[in-house]
Amino acid sequence: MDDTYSELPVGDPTSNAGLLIRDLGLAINNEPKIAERILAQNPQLWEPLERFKGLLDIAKQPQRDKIHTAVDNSIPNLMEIDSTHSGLDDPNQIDCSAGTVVSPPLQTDLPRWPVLSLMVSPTPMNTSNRSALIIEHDRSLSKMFARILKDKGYVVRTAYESEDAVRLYRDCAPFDVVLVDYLMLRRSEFGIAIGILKQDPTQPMIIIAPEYCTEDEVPRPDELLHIPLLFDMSNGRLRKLLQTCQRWATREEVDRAYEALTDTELLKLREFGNGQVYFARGTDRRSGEDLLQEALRSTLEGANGGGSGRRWNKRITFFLHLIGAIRSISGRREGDGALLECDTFKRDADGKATSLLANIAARDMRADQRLIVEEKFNRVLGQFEDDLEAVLILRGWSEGLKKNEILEEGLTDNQYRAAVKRIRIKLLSPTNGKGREKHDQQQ
Amino acid sequence: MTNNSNEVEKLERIMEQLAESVLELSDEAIRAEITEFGVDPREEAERIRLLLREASEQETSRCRRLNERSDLG
Repeated sequence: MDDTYSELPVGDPTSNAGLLIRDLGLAINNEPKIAERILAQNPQLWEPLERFKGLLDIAKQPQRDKIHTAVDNSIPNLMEIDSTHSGLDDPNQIDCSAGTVVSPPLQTDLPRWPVLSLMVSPTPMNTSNRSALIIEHDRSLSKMFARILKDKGYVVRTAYESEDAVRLYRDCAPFDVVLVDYLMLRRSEFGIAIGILKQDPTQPMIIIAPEYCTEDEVPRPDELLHIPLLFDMSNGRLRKLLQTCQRWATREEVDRAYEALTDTELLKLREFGNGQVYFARGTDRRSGEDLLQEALRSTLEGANGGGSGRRWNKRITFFLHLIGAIRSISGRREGDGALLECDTFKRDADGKATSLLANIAARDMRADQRLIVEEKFNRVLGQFEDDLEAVLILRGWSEGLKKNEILEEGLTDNQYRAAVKRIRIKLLSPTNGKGREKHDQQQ
Repeated sequence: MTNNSNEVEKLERIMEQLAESVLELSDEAIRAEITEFGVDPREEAERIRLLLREASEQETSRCRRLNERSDLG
């Protein structure tokens, strides 16, 4: 068989579908009648076949400026790889296990490496994205890393020159991780990395050094000896390194952190939890204090290495971590009472928790529950029938309006804040809101 | 009230905003509000801290039990 065909990236060539398309592509040239008959019987094959032929045409061009390689047909993302020549005659061309063939750029004498296959990241649990800085002079590699990190939920900034890297780091630091090309480091006499570590000695960093195979081979100053090196471009290796870059708290650190919470932070956490469960739809009979306890227990479990626990990444404050934990715990629906939190979250290799319920639309409610909800809503509004400003705000909130949008209805900032305070006092007061809701549920 | 699932979403949005509004309070404001509930903020904070210690002890016990079980196994 012509190697040209076998090396083309047609989805997963090891899959039956990939093999079929590849064989069909071959048959068009060698056995056109058979191919026509197969296509007549299976018109759905036209589309992947056309894609195959398109890729084949690109691959056969002696020069190409740009290849768009579909890494996985099931993934809508395309990994854009700039290249200055055809990879077909390139001895460095690698056929990776996922069936993707990419030539490394010519401008550097990079060794053979498989291109990292892209992964579809699960929906992040919270919206606070991690950040990464990529310092890589090779734009195609930079784009590749950027794509991978973005898929892992990172907000990525890239610098192709040392000066840009210094400026970006100065303006945007800290980052959750900095990926820096070894060749650039060497050219700058390691000034970029040393400079970054001078600014923040705890800055997690990974040096991309595919030119080498072992740490001992890589000449670098003492200041950088502790920085992990990425030799092979496998997803697993990068994931492992990213994992080690995370600042996960230990059990002792969590213990210290909750003891160090101030009085007002504790009060806010409790009240935040009370607010989250005021209508008690999500967390049935629990109070804000119950949520806070569960958030801490889960965090301690995560710190102890419990697979279903919630790990605290020290890049955010412990207070904010608990807020996020309470928010996600309270996101559960009524009827999920038997579920433990660990049943509703999965954690990927990066430690990122993903709500298994996040993408599920609100489930159908029983008629009696619907009536209860409707009654609750009316009861809340009814409590403020003499307070038009509060009603305006509650209606605005219920419609998803932001503060500014509500202010456009004719409220001043002071009126807004005062009315929100009245709402809070009335709804969250121990003698009014949460306690009674709890009992309502139990009846 | 034509759409009950909308009512649910409305309630959830109110709840979310209610909770978020707490986070925007200054330290003085949260203390003042807790006081308005008729509770001493310092005592209340201490009570919450005790609850957290309790949760920590529970987790420690759970770990110990797990370890003992695995040792026996």
